[in-house]
Amino acid sequence: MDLTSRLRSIVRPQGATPRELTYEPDTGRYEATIDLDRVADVLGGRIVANDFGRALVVDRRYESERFHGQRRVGECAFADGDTLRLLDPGLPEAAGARERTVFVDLETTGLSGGAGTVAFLVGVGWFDMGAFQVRQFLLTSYASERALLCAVADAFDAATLLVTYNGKTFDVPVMETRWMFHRMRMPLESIRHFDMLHPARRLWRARAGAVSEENGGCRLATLERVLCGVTRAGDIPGMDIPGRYFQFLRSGDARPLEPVMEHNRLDLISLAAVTAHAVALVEDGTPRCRDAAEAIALGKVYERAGCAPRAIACYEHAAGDPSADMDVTAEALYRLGLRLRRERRFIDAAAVWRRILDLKQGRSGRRSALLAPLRQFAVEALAIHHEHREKDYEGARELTLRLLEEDLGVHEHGRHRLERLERKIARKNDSHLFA
Amino acid sequence: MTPSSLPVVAGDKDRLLQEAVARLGLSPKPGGADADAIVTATRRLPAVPASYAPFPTGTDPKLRAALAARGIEQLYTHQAEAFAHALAGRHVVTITPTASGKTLCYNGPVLDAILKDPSTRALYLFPTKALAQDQLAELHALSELAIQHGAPEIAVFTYDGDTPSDARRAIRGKAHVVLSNPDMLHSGILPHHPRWAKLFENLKFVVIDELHAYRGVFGSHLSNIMRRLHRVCRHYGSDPVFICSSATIANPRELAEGLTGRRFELVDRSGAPRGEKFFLFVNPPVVNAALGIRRSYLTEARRVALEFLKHNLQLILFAQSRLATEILTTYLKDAYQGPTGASDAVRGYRGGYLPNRRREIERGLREGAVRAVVSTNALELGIDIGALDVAVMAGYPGTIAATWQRAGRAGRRSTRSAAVLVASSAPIDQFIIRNPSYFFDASPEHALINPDNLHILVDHVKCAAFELPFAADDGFGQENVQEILSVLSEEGFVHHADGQWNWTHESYPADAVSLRSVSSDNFVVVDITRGERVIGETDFSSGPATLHEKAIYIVEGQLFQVERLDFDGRKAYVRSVDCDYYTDAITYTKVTILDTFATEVGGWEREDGESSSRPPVPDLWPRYAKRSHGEVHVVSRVVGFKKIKFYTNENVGSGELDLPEQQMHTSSYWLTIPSAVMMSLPYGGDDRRDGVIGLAFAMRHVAQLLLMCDRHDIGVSIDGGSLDRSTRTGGRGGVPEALQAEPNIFIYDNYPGGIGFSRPLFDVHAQLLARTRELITGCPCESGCPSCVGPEGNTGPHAKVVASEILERLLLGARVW
Repeated sequence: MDLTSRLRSIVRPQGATPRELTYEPDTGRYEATIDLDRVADVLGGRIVANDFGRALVVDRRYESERFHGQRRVGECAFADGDTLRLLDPGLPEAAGARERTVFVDLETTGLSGGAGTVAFLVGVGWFDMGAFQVRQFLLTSYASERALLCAVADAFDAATLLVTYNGKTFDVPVMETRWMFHRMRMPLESIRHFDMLHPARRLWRARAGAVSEENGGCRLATLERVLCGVTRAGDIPGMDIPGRYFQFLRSGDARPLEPVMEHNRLDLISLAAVTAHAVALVEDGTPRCRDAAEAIALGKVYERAGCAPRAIACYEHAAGDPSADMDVTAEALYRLGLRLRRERRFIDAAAVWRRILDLKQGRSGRRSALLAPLRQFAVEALAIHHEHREKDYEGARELTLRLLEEDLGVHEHGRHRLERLERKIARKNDSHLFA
Repeated sequence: MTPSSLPVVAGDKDRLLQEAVARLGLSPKPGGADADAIVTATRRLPAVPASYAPFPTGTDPKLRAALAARGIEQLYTHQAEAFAHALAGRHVVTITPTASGKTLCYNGPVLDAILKDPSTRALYLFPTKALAQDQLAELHALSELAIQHGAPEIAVFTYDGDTPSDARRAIRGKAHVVLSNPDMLHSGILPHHPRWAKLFENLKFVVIDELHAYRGVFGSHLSNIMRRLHRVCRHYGSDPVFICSSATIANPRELAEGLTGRRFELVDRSGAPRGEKFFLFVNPPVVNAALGIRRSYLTEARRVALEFLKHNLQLILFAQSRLATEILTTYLKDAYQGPTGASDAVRGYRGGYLPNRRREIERGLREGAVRAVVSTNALELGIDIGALDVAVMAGYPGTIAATWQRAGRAGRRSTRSAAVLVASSAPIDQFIIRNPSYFFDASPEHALINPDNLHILVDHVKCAAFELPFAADDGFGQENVQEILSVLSEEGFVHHADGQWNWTHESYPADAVSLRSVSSDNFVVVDITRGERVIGETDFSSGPATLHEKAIYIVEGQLFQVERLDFDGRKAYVRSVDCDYYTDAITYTKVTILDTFATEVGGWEREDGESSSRPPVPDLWPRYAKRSHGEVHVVSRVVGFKKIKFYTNENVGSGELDLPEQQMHTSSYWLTIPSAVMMSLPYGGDDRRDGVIGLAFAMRHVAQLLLMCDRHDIGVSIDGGSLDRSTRTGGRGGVPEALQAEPNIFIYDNYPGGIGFSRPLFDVHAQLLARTRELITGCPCESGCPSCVGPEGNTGPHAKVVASEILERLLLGARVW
């Protein structure tokens, strides 16, 4: 057996199912020449030259009045970078007066990362006079990667804020790897970076998770649909994207890439739209909330950012929503009580614990799984309040008895409290006698 | 020299040691079976004084001050030599006995370079994570001392599977010394080289410790990983110096050069002092002369260990498997409680114990609280446990090199120590124990690798292409890498454009490569006793033989029975059982010759491949045997299994199996017995067949001995022409019904593509036959036993005599017939 046949039998063992290729394999030494001008023509781009060679750039402008789903493009811009710090308290403060926000999204040859994962399409977007400007850099051959990376680096030079979706884990490390691979300067390290994925998960995981579990139940494509009413026609599935690119490299035909370019552009606008939606939500607070569940999620976001008054308002709002499920109402009251207690508003917190005790099972027809443990928690919190803050030992005893009677998972320290309270009551009575 | 004639020197310990040694030959012998010596050899290895040399000129004063603080004012000669080579930029491999200060051979030049230029980076590779941890502590201690003498901090980190991900970024940027292992370099560092740019740009040294561990498949993989490392270093403009250390093997320089592709200097004379050492061979007495059954070597090892323990000597007892380790630990714990008040005087030690527990045992050994440790080969490598008084080996460790390594675990620099080898009844053990000069006087084994095994090579070409594009004129090993890339491009893995090959695939190829096997395909073992739990894995080729239905699968002494083998799903479902037997698969193997690379009648060559006018064994050379080597096609099929009782090795049952056949191309050596020799045997067809089978059985073990390989690394087969499937239950397991006129005995590499054993075996053909003859004729059994041609019940009544007559004819020729 000659070397080639032996190699073939190793690379594709006998009996192994042929790999399903989404692109034509090479046949022999066939090599397509990629005509850069033709690719530019097909994709509606232009060629830029720099010290490292030529790179292909595709520009698209989405005018302010144009709709993206139910929302105008112009409404997707947001002015205040500081609001983002409510969504991500770890984001550093803006340094200069003028914020220049750049949205970034990559299409890559794989998801594993490492030296062999290449960003073949770098999409950036920014707002310009109300319109959304997208600029895409396409790698037309591996040999021209340095020219692309140089052009991309230039595009970031004026940026002060990066907005991505999962960029902290994926896009930025991939770009950094590419620059480091070619020993080139890395502009991203010094730019502030807001990753929309994590706040999105906090705000809408429950809602988006009901649709798809991908990206921790929070795919951008799901959010754009549920938040902005965007429906994509003929969108290419993410898993097909590398194959399209490999096919382009082998055939030189750029037409199959057009849906990939469009997919990337839509991702960028949607990222802007979803970010604007989140910004508006944290800026306006409860009036923007779609329902009580969103108000609770928003309250939690405010709490992380250290905005207790706004968080309290959100929980109040959610607790007062008559259309909410029992579970949602109970959770809102629970978080509200905890927050009030942490703010040392003990009287208000006690009032909230009483509201939990007033909740009746079965109001919405469904049994709430949360209610029993929360009632138990509330009775206990209230007993502590009566014992230690109000010094109302009788009230505390009554509550403790109720806790024990309701048999809400009766435990040792309920009995201990009862004994202690009896002693305290006895002592108080004694001191009355002698007073 | 007999133990009683040893001069008595001052010192209680010496006296105790000699007393214990003298008692070893006094094993209570079963009545009448005293023909066989129990202590078959006693050697006294004389004490050697230290020889010192000064530090190379220009050694950083802060390093010298730090070493002086540890009492090191000058170097041993081998340390100074290695240091000087590394300083001059020459790649160096040092052969060092245990406890000779080998770490200074590499820590010296590396720390010196870092102190002189803080941008210097070094990468250390150890075969196991535990060894890297050990070295971490050593380097931290040294750098602390250097800091006290005004040195800046030297950052040393381990980087392995246990490194938390938040620590990784910091390590990549600031570690001067990264301690890692081949697996991590392969799948965690090289594929992410841009993130390690700082390391690779400034990489001055690559240290490979325990070089001898990288042989066979593992070594062949490492060699390819080094090829990838060179490509990455070239990309970042660095060209590191390699500093390697190895246990005593025959070809350290060749191995280092094969693994790294660089020219090496060899430092093989140790300057470290050594106390006197007794080395004894102990053969358990025969309890049944007719069947050649000896007393269990574990029982005998227990007796030997107790002699030393009772004389208050600290010892390490090496066992061959995890199971044997646990058994011996139990035996010793039962028999020896230690000095009053000492708890845990006897401890077990093996892979699988938690790190904390292992550190505790190591400390106990250093401090003396632990009097005996029973260990697998886990303690053979350079873990610091101090120097013990005695090393006992229950069973021959398999290679001369490993035996010396284990023996080296006992021995302080000034006092006497002892090493005792207790032989099991395995053919190799019996050969060694009866031929002590093979061990004491012969050169140790060659470590062999075959980096250009196509299966392994193709996997690493994929990884290399992922890491950096291949240029049209790039090479990678011996084979034409452009041809490989071209075939890979047919499957879409790479694409050729603008004069380079780029990786064009979504996958991460390093994930699909296992460094311990040729193919990454494997079977997973699922325990279904309570719920489903994965408890192990087995590589694809040995799956059918070990995981067939009703097979007993053993893990950490616990027995499981295979209930169902899902061949296509590559899963074996096992359930915990309690039984007193294990299973041995019966495999039919058919070997077809594809290509004969060389064939020769009656020739011999010296081991170094040069022709010689004198035979290696005078008057005993295979004038009439034909040797060949070449490429073969191996079809194997597991057709049944035997149930074998623990301890007694009785055959207590069997079963038939119907499993898919497995095929591979590999390389093989084969012996052809001329028809004239076969015809001259005064025996019938069945007996002749039995003789050839017995001969093959014995040759396999001797080949394993000569090749320094594991039992599973080679396979053996006899061609007979009647191996058709309809007779699969006929004959005695895996045996042809009738022989060809000129039967061939194949000893093939048990890995697809071959791992490089066949050519060396062809070269030592004369030795192989002569040693096999020694094994068979030297065995005291009457008509075959597990220690020579196989147990009589398996091989037939005349197997032993026919096998030895065949060898007589091949080796002595017409004088006999």
